[in-house]
Amino acid sequence: MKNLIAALLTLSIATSGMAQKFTTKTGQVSFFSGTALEDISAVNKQALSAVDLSKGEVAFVVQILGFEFEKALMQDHFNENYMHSDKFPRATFNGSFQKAAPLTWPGSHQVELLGKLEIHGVSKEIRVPATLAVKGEEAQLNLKFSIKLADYGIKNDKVKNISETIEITVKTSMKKS
Amino acid sequence: MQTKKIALLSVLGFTALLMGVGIWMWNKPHRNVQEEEPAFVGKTDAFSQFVQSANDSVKASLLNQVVELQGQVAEIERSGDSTVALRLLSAEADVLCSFIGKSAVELPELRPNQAVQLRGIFTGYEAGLPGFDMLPTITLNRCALHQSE
Repeated sequence: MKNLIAALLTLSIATSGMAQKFTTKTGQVSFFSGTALEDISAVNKQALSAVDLSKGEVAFVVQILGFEFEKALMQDHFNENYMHSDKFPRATFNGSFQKAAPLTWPGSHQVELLGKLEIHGVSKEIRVPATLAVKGEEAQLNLKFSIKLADYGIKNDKVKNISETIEITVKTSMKKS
Repeated sequence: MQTKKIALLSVLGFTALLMGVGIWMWNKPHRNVQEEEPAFVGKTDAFSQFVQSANDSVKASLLNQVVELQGQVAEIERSGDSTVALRLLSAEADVLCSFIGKSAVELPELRPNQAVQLRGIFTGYEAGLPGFDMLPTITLNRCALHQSE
């Protein structure tokens, strides 16, 4: 009996140490810019997202050409004049959770992510708040943060119809992989 | 007097023309993949292999181009009335097609394994994420069903 309990305990410890990886290829990344001239928003629903809860690692990749705007003209300007998506086709984030709490516990956790955000070929370290919810085989990770266009070398000096600070929202619903 | 009238009418006409062009530009429709000549026509696996083996400049030249793929539905997911995410079966990569607006609303019910022929704008290729085992991903946007059996 003692041997059986010991074996179960060992198995339980070993299992808890195993990789807790969750991924999706249909994460949603949207952004919003509001000025007196006009409001601009776009969404991309094909973001690759992954978290490894045992290591506390997070990664996102989104294709710039995949952002959809209400107006075709805005979409053209976004790709050609601002993001230069032919030269810099993707935006990435690689980071880690800055909280030592047991993230694998079921429930919702307020966490902080620290990592490198690369947009327009410029990489910068950012620290952003996030909500992580783990339930069985699924994990949801949601972020909302702002970036300054100038920090990423995105020039907005022709028409001032885009705000200097853009609000970015990331919503992901990932499955255990 | 006559010259002044002609000059005034010319200025008004030119202004109206500029305004018309501006309004048309502002409201110009999104690209229609059905009306564009595809840069690639073939089976899903052939496209996956082509993209993966292509060098960066070939991949870049294919970006933002319309491609036409024949394949089978692996998975289909509707979110709301106007967005459908469809994954095509491929051993080589996950080929994700996003249907938006009219093409999503008019998309008939599709079943897994059903043969489809669709067009979409190639928006990118991703080998994976560091530290995570994932099939490579190919993304197509503004997809439209070209023909289904």
